[in-house]
Amino acid sequence: MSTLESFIWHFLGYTAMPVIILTGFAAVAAFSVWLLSLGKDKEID
Amino acid sequence: MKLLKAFWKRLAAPSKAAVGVVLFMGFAGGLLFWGAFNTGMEATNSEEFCSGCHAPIVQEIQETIHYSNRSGVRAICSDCHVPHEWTDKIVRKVQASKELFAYFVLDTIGTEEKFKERRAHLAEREWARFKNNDSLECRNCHQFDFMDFSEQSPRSAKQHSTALASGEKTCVDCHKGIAHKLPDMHGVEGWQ
Repeated sequence: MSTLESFIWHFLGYTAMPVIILTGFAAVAAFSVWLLSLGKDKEID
Repeated sequence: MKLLKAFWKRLAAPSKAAVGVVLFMGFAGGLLFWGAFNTGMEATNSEEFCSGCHAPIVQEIQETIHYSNRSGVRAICSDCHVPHEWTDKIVRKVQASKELFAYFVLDTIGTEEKFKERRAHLAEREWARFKNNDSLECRNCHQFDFMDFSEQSPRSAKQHSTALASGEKTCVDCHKGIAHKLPDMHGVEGWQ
């Protein structure tokens, strides 16, 4: 594997890490907001 | 867009639920997400998953010492071909997207004949990776500091105590084809 190819994969790999974590946050937030909307938070508009 | 706006409005506004409830939901949600993510990633480390595309190679290991041996300790594909550290593992998994593209779109190793043609190329890439990381995946189990040279054959003891100890050579320089059949070794350094 060339140095350039190695750099590209490392760049993409390290970029994927925050994407994974932020996607997890967004998914948990979406589920939590939906769950809360079923109960006490329903009046928020 | 409307849904996103509504989501953001709820996300930005204080909840009427108790702080403890909100914190617990975040904690439990985080645990569940991380558990699911790691389970999914571990599934891609299993032998069944690897054999989906590399069936001939997975078959070959059954004839080697890394599959069956006197101590009953065995290695599966990911032990040697996927880094164990989380960050390195993610980089390797992302890199594997190219291999998925090659298999499913370019159909580079779809048949046994194609696989045999490609074997030398695949092996060379793995040897280069091992060479670059000083055979890290070998060293996860075979630690130089705990090698007892008196238990090794004279030839092994000599090589390990000199070339390996000095860093001149790394495991894969000599131990090629320990878990798979070798490709055509013509032109490979040290194998002429």
